[in-house]
Amino acid sequence: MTMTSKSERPSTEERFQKAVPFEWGYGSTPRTNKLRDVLNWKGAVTEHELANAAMGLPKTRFRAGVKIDMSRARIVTAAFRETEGQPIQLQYARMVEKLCDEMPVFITDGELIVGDPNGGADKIRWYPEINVDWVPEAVTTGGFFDIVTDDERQEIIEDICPFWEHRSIEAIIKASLPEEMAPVINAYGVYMSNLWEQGLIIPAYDWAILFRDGLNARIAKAETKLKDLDAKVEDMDPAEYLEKRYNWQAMVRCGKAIIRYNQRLAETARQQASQETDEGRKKELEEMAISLEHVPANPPRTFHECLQFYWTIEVVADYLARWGYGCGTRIDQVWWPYYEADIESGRITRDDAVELVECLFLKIQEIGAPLEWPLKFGGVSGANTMYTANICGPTDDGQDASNELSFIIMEALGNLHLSQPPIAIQYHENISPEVVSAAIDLCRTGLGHPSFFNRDLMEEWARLRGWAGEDVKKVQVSACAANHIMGKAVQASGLAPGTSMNCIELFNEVLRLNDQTAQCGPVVFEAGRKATDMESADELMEAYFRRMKYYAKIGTVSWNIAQQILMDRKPDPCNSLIMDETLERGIDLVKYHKEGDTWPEATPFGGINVANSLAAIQHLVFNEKKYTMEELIQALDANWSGYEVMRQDFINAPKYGNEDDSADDWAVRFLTGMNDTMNTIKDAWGFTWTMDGSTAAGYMMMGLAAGASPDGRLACATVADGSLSPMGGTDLSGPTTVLNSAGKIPYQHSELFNQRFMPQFLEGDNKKLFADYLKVWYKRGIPHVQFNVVDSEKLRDAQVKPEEHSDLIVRVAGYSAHFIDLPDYTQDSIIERTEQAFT
Amino acid sequence: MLDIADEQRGLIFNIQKFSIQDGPGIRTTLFMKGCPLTCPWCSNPEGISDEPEIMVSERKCIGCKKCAEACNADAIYFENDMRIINWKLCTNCLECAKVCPSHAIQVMGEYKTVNEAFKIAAQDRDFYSTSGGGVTVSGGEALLQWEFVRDFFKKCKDAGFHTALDTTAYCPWENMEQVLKHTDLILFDVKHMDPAMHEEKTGVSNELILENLDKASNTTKIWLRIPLIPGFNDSESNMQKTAELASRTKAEKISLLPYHEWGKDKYSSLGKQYGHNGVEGILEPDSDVVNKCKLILESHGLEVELGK
Repeated sequence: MTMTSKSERPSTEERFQKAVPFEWGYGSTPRTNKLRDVLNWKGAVTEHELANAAMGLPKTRFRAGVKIDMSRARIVTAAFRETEGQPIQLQYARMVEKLCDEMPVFITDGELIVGDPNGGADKIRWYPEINVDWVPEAVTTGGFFDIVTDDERQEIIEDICPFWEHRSIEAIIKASLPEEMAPVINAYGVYMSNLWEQGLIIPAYDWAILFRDGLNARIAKAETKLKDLDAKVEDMDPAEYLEKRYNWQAMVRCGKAIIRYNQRLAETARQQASQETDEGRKKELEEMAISLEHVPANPPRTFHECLQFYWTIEVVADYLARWGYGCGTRIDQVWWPYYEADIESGRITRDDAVELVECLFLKIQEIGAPLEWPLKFGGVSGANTMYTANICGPTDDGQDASNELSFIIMEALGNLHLSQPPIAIQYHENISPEVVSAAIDLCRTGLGHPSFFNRDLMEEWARLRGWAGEDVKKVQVSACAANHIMGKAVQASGLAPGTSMNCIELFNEVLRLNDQTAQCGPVVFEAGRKATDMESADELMEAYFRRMKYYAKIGTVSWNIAQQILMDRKPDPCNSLIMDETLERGIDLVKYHKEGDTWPEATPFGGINVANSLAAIQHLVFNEKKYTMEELIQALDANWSGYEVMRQDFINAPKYGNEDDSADDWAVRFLTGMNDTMNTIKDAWGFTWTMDGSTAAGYMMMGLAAGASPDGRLACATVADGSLSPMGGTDLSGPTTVLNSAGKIPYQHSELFNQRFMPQFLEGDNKKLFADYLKVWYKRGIPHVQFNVVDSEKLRDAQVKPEEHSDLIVRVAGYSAHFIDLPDYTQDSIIERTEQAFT
Repeated sequence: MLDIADEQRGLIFNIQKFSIQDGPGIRTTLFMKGCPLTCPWCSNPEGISDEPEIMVSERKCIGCKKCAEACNADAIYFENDMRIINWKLCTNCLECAKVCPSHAIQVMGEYKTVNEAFKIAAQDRDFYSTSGGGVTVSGGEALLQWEFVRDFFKKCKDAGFHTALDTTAYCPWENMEQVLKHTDLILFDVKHMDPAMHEEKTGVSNELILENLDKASNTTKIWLRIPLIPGFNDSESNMQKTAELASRTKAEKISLLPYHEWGKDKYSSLGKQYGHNGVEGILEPDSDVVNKCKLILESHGLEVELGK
């Protein structure tokens, strides 16, 4: 482990605790303190009227002052208008060019890292090329009304939306589904299938190579490839020739556009410098201009340039050119050489580095998530870009890779008290106790950072997905809790691909099935016995798997069609330039990732609730014979109303999370059974379906859409908040017991697992015990854990007086959000999440 | 369970995982039912009686009235959907708790065999070995059920778990001695050093207690825990004497536990009256008094920590 001597590093505990939680001062310097004061918070909350939760369009509300960004939508629309009829790659290249040349650029006073995918610091971008069908309603009656002016509303409704009505990717996909199947595929309920329209890919940039080369070298490479291609045209298949030609041409144009984007920022810096009266700031701006002209065209020369290079690529390639959701990377590793060189040469001090990292994190916080379909927006309510910063982890030879930047990164976030970027600790056998101690200090602040990921299981994930050798070691956490391999493109697993599965609704459907065969297009469901004729909960579970397979097969049809359309109609030349293999081969990134590293994935919501339901049914209906299936179904139909005593029996039946095998075994068998069932189905490219536990905040939306369940849950109530978390309020034996239960679930895919602790358990002598607790978490083979460290009194107070707690950040699931930005039902569920007291 | 002739059963009212206040590391604490002392400030009143008893919760009651139907003594009735218990009539038959669907009436105290209790404690063995933790037996007064504790500790020691006994040491020495053979640490509750004062508040003299403690200190490591009751045991002279006791018994650590009222609400849930109204109306000690006591103890070279 490389780090400066202990005496130079301020104690993180001291630093974070110098102020009272939730009432602290922010930032390590006056600069970052001021930047934080003027920061635009763009978290939004989706409000539902519970009565018609799943039906009406929810209302989303933003904090005052937030406005829609029209510039991106306008520029994209103009780019496609002017290029209609051209090869699709060149249309997208033109879009990137126009965005880089025409998006408003600005530098906020004091900023050291610059560039923003929104046309103003207070604005929120949107992506009409993806989908527009929700937009007219959202900006009139649907809750986005206040962030749009009358003129903008008119432009959206009369100009932008009509242009995209039949041209957006979602419109094209929807128009291309088999007619009989389309209504099932688009139904919201059991499946929320209409998520693939984003074509959301997380290209896992290999930063070391990008920094080493700079964009000029990549552009030159593409130009050479074009020359070589022309030289070989005689012998080539013309289709292949054209495809590669357009791809490389588009890559070159995108690369040059990114460089021009930074030149525009450089001009802005120079112009501001010329008017600046403060000599210090003037000099800073002049130096920034020099850097902005240097990177990302050329390799960075300093730590500051390294961070600016990094941010420019993210702004343009990840957010302007496509609908990006944070590319997770091991930032303490990829930034290290530049930090080390600057410290060794005396160019910067450690404090300077903390300030620079703070400046970058303020940008990541401020850009916010884009506007999107309000139902889905609710699924990530209050969230931002889910831009996961990986730190720690092992070196290639298994030693601890933590370095001084690991500490600086945690410290920067702790100083600023931001929700972004989420920090993921890659926890492993040899992780330094010192870095774990700093991580506990950061958890103690109540920010919800960092979350801990079991590195061994990340590597296991990579092997399960067919990676081998060196590639396995390049595994990283991205987005919420998904994994990817650095240097390879992988489609995000949390939101976009495949389907989100509402396990409770599927289960409820199975409970009420008759014995008739069902059919959707060519996909057939062979019904077994009716639930009321069944003789065990096992039989019910088998019926669930059959029904799930039926839906998965329907989902496969939509997945296949959507994937083909994304390949044909939504190339990504900007990111194709940035990834090595796509650049080398002249293949587009979207097509490339279908070759071997993406697959349909289903994200199960409420799986734990179904496991608890099966346990309760086995216990009360089949073992004790206290109730019949008919009675149960009647009670569920009545939302337990009039069945209060019966409901108590179902509530008090064995529940997962109490180290009780009569419930935990159901969780094991149900969760593995779902995964095994999905594994039997392949997509058109031969990739098997898998599951992914990156449920983010979708558990709330899914709960709203789910009827009452046999675990005693009422209709519309939230479901278990992570794929491995016990249902809130049902784990009654403390945190160690929950770990013991969760540790029984065999590793199959990424999972989310949340626990809540009061701050005092992470302080003083207890800190060592908390570190020991983490060791057992790791030993138990649980893929992930994150901690909400708050007290319920504080949370209740925040519900009553939100204005006094505007900075209260809690971990929701997979990300942190401002508590007051969360809807009531989410706030309630966070409070309810069993308080894990050590006493 | 009685058919397992050679296995002791213990009456336990709570098994608390992830205890971090009852000895070193992450622990599991067994709370044994029954106590010969009558300290009025007791924060675990459900541990006093040596029989299973009911404890009620208003919040959990769904008003189904099954308890009233089940009651053999007509001690439960409903007025405006509010459940009312006439504790004087209660015969402790526990029938109401058996039929309560929402756990609004629960039985405090369950008999478990040594094996059953060990199985639960052993679930957290990884946490013990990682954190230097283990098992603690508390109460009530654990030594009332000394045979169970002896066998339980023996089984835990055989499995390599650290054992801690949280006790007032009020029991015949020969019983305590048996338990100490398998005990790594005694958490000893010091109420007062003066026999008369001790008897006035706790109902028993401290002579046997101090005698036992002196004997125990020859073989077993001791931590002292002092519930700080204003006006009762916070005087300078009592602290001086406590410090002498600590030195004499080579106590490794002393925890001062300032009085709190957190246990008060439990009394009405058990149909009991809370008897501690403070001495001269003072309930919680102020921080000056706590610090003064801490300083006195520290002046004897003792390590003192403030508990909660």
